[in-house]
Amino acid sequence: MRYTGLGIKNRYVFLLIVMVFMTMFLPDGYALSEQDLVIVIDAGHGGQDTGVVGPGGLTEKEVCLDLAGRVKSLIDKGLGYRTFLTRSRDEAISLTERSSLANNNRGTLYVSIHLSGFPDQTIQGFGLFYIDQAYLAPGSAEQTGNKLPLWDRQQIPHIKESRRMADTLHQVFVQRFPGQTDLGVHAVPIYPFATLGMPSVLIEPAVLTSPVQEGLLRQDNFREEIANAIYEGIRLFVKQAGSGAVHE
Amino acid sequence: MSEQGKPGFRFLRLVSVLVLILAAAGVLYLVMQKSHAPKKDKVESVYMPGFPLYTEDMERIPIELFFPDKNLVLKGENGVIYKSTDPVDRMRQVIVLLLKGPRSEFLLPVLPEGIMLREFYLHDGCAYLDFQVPASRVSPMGCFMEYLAAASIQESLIRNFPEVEKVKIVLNGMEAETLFGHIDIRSPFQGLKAGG
Repeated sequence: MRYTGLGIKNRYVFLLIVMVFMTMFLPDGYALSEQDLVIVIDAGHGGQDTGVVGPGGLTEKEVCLDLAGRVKSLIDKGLGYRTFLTRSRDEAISLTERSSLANNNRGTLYVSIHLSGFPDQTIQGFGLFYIDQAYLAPGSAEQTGNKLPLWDRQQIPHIKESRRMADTLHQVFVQRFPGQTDLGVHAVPIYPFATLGMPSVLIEPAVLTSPVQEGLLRQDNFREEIANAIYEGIRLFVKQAGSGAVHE
Repeated sequence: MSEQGKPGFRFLRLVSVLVLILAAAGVLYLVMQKSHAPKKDKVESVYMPGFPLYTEDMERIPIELFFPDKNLVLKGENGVIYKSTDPVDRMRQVIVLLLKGPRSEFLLPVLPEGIMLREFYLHDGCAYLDFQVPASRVSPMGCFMEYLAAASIQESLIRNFPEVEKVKIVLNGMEAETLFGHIDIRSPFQGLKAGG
């Protein structure tokens, strides 16, 4: 007796059509679910590596650690996401180790907090940084004769979202610090961002070599304003990235 | 006869005047010597190998050095180097000038004091720069300034020397992950943008 139902070939075609149809209902862009979120907050420098030192002696490592702790507290209280600090005290942690900690702890967002430093004390302001395809593309690596190792390709799928996170944080800073100079959003080859398997940004919310900004950074309320702005940037980014991922 | 009229006293006074004149002449001579002395070239403070990169009788050629301005955008500053026989020596001169910093007060120095050029090689279109950096260095600049420093080096070499296609930096004779804790220098770079 001859089989009259769908042939095996036709069944595969049917399944293919159904799968294509289903993809139309997938959320556009980078979807984040609340239970999977792990916000990695990286306080720059530490230990013997003081980072930039202000004209009055304030160190970048000290301010970054304080800001990272404040951002973590705000997320813990306000959003309830899992958070992870790459360092929670004054200790030296290599950049490679920071990347490893973020990846091994299943980080979904990476925010590295630093401060700017310039050889001119009149320069002040805030800036945002992410790594761009231009610094990661396998084509450019082949030109150099060095094939890009797998480890250095971890950021490639996340570049678009890294850029969007940098833009979101930047917009919040522009709104909240209208009196400060906007140093912009820049694509730069930051180490170890190539190895981070999650959207990643580096923020320099103030310039420590400016005596004016060093004075502000000594004040508790200025630090709280910065931490609040970073928190708000993260909240907005997650809200835009995944529906229902943020408590309204 | 008064004391002042005695021959012994007059002789003593004459000797004192002569000693004073001689001392004044000596001081004047030393001051003049100092003002006419050639200003100490800072090359030896930024260039380690010490072998001469040029001779004074060589022709001079114009070059353009790149430094960030206070708006953090790279700007060109005209300079002059000697036309050394070996083109690599001309490239070394450019890096020496870059290390010495800009002449204009509106431009920013790109590398902090204490950093020296240990060596410079050109191989297969890639300029290899080996900087001597103090072991006890701390990050003197943030991520943005560090990026601008790398971009300044890149632009100052690539724009003046068509044979340079990319730049690779090593520190203290060894491979390094970053220049000063932020910018990835593990691979040669060529596409750093002037304004980030």
